[in-house]
Amino acid sequence: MLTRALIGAGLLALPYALGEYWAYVAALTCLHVLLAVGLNFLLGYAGQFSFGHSALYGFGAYTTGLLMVRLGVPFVLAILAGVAVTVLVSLLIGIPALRVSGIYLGIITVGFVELFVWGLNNWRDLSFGPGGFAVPVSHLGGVALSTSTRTYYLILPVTAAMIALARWLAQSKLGRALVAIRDHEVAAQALGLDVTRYKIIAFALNAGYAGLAGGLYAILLNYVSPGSFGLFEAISQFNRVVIGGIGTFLGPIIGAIVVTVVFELLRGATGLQELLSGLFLASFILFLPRGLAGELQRRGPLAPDRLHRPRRAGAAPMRT
Amino acid sequence: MKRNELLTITWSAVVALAAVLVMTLATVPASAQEVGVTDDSIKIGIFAPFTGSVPLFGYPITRGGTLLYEEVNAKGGIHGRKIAWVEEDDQCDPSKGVAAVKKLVHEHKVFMLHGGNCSNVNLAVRPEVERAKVPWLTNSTNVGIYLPTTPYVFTTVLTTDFEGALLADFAMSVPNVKRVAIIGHRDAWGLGKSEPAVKRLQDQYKVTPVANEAMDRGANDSTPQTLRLKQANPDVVIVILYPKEGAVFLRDAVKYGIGSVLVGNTAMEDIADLVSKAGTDAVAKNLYALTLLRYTMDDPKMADLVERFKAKYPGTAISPFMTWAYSGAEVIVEVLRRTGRDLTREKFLKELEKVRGFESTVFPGTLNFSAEEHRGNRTANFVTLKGGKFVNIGPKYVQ
Amino acid sequence: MLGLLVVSGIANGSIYAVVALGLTLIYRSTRVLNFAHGEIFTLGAYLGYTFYHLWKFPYAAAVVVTLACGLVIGLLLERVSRRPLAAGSVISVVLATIGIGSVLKGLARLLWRDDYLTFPPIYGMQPMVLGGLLLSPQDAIIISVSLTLMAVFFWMFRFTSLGKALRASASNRLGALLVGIRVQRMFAASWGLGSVLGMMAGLLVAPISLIYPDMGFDVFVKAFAGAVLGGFGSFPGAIVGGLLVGVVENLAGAYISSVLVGSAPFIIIAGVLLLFPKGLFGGLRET
Repeated sequence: MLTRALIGAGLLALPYALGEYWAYVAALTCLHVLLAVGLNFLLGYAGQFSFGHSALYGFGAYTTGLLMVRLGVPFVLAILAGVAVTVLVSLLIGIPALRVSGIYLGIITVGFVELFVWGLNNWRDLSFGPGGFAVPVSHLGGVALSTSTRTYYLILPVTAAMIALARWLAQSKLGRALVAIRDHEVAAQALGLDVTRYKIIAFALNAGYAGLAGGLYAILLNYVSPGSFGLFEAISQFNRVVIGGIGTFLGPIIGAIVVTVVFELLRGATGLQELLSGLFLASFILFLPRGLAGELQRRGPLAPDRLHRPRRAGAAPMRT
Repeated sequence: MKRNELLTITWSAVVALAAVLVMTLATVPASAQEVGVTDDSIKIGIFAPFTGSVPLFGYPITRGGTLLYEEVNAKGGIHGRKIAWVEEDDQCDPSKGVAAVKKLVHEHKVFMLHGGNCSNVNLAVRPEVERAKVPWLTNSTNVGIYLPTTPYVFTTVLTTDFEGALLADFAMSVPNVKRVAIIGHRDAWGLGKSEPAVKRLQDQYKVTPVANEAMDRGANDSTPQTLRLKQANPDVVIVILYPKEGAVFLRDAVKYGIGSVLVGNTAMEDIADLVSKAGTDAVAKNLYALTLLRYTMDDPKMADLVERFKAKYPGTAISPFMTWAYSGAEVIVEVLRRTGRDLTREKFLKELEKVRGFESTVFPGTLNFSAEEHRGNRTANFVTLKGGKFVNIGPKYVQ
Repeated sequence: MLGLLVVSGIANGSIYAVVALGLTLIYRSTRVLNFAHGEIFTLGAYLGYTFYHLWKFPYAAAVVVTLACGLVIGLLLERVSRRPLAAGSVISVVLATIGIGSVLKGLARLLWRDDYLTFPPIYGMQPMVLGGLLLSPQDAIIISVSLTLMAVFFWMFRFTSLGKALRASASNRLGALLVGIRVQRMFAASWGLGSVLGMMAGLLVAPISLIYPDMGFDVFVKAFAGAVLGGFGSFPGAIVGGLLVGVVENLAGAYISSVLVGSAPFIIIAGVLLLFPKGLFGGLRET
């Protein structure tokens, strides 16, 4: 409890100790944590390989931003609407997509993401086109969220609450069902689990977290444009979850924080960022498949997840 | 939900609300000398896509500016202060751009900003700059960054709306022209030029383009677009493409026999480079390109600048765009001089708004600023390649 | 105009088809979607440029050396990313190929910088006229070499013992092991051959495309669309699909709107997967 209190106090004091720039980085990190936690449900617990998360992030950001700019909707409602729309979209895509075998989900979602970005670039009457648009500053009870410091104080508790929710879900029947499906789909089905239904729920969870992160992105940056939601973003999100530890609870949190902060610190290393991110991803998959969280659990400092021991990213062995 | 979690969340929420209250009441202490200014230095913040998808808009542009700063420093600086600068990468991505600018403004505490070459980044960053009240000279051509006019944002680069109109004027100056077509990228940059061009054609000349074709960034082939253009049979085609795609289109235009006059935008002003990319000098036959430059790339006066650049930055690509940052630096240095030793951001901005008839060594015409107009440059010329040499033909078509 | 569009579409589509073929080979034999395949294509163009233009090898020698590099890189890739993860799930391997793809792209950026490089044309630029149709020499080379490659590939796959061993390992690993086939070697060979195909496509397109580090991704997506259209996992499907993508993007661009040229692949992917997910040739029958 003491550790948590100290971490909490530190996070709250961060903008005062480190300034506006680091407040922005911290807020962005919270968004990355949300994305990683949501992706972990689909990739880590359910073992489904999808690229959709970057487009879902974009759906959240665009819905929120467009509602605020075009209709003057207050930001809380706009964000909630963004989440709802994103979840709805995920159901529309997920229900047909999840009926087909594993690799096809990856294929379909690649197409979905690229089509989404193309739509944003070309349906200019709706989306303002490739230039994107500015989102008006949000107001919370009379305070204008015009600096990252202020917005951070909104994003931080929301993130904490969503992490708590994720923990609760992971340890519930839902979490156990997802892991059962990941580890052996046929056996899970034999046990009477409605596999497709659970996969769809995992997809919708991914969408809910991504949609929320998108809405918060819109009010943090106050600017939304298509370029941020393509396949590059999808791969960055994979990076964070893998490095943190797929299928563990703390993994996505640690991964998102480490990757975001490390790359901010490496700002000066021009030219190497692409190389390094690819190297990290490949190295972790090959040599540290449990990710940072998994390794910390194995070596002691962290208590292991009560739920399961993931051996490698995803789980079912290849068919012979 | 477990009791521990509930406690932590409630506790965090209470403290967060208290913090918000405290923060809204806090004030920022005033500083002694102006931000970014010390007794012997002035700190300038530079941000650009040094890495990412368009690194050609990074160092090849910004080093045109830092070249001049280095030379000014070597001669003793300005009123006893040397110019120092800090560079941050924005990777042409808005969220990274905001991070870069926040770092420059809040961590590095620069006096002013000179940079920003991607329009998406600049559009995202502008509110931040206005809030922080930092003077900012940009290299971006997107007009949305400058209008409505804000006290803090300036440029010496020809913005896309002026450029689109100049392209249209040139097209209409071709003798006996009746049919005009356009081919361009449909991103913010491309549309920023083609839409004003279409508007100018319609408003000023009552002409509607007979074709308006789209070409993607990164395309290797433009057969469908070229054949459609050929079918439309235009007298003039306005080409709003980046250099690589421009080379691809020109190659296809030669292949399928487009006989029209081709008018390229500023990204295509290095015609010799286009010829080498396309692999044949037949592409230069009817090609004219808008140039921001006072002298053509092969003029001895340009050669001097190129030599100095090469000497200082041997590893950086040479491109005409270096003149954008160079002209910006010329203006900055001049205005710093005029403001005098007692340097504040406010005085700098006031001096900048008074600049009239300033002659840049690299841009034609003069640069003029005012309180209403922060875009200093409205002139451009057109070049073509004759016998392997650049010829500056002025603003109208010449056979 | 139709003839010109189709001819140019076939030339572009041949590139997509060759890339798709390599991708499908790797998928068929090891069930892995190799996301580094696009970067291998890029390397083919860069290596060809280095050997032919920078180090002044004769063209034939440059081609052979580049393809040899392709073989080696493919084998290495299999050894490094697939074999250690074979006991786990396919997702790990795919993620590893994504990581390695980024590494390759980053290396290309470091080694060859970011400017667009021009590969010197092998033959002149003057197009040939064949019965009202225009064909540039490089397009002719692309089409003929691609067709030859595909024919050789089919012959090898169907009629040589290597081909039979590859097919056996892909369809029934245990059975193949039992009859003495070195299955691990077959997997490695398929990655090596797939990469050779990818690099060959890069070499073919280099003279007409400017070379830059991101070129692989664009082609990867189009080849991917072709493979999906033809039925993912089917060889004839990969070829027909690739060619179709090339032709359709030209036709759509010319007759409907030029905006569609870049987006045709994604629309194709979406349409196929929603309407007839198994593609034209039915795709791979899952065991």
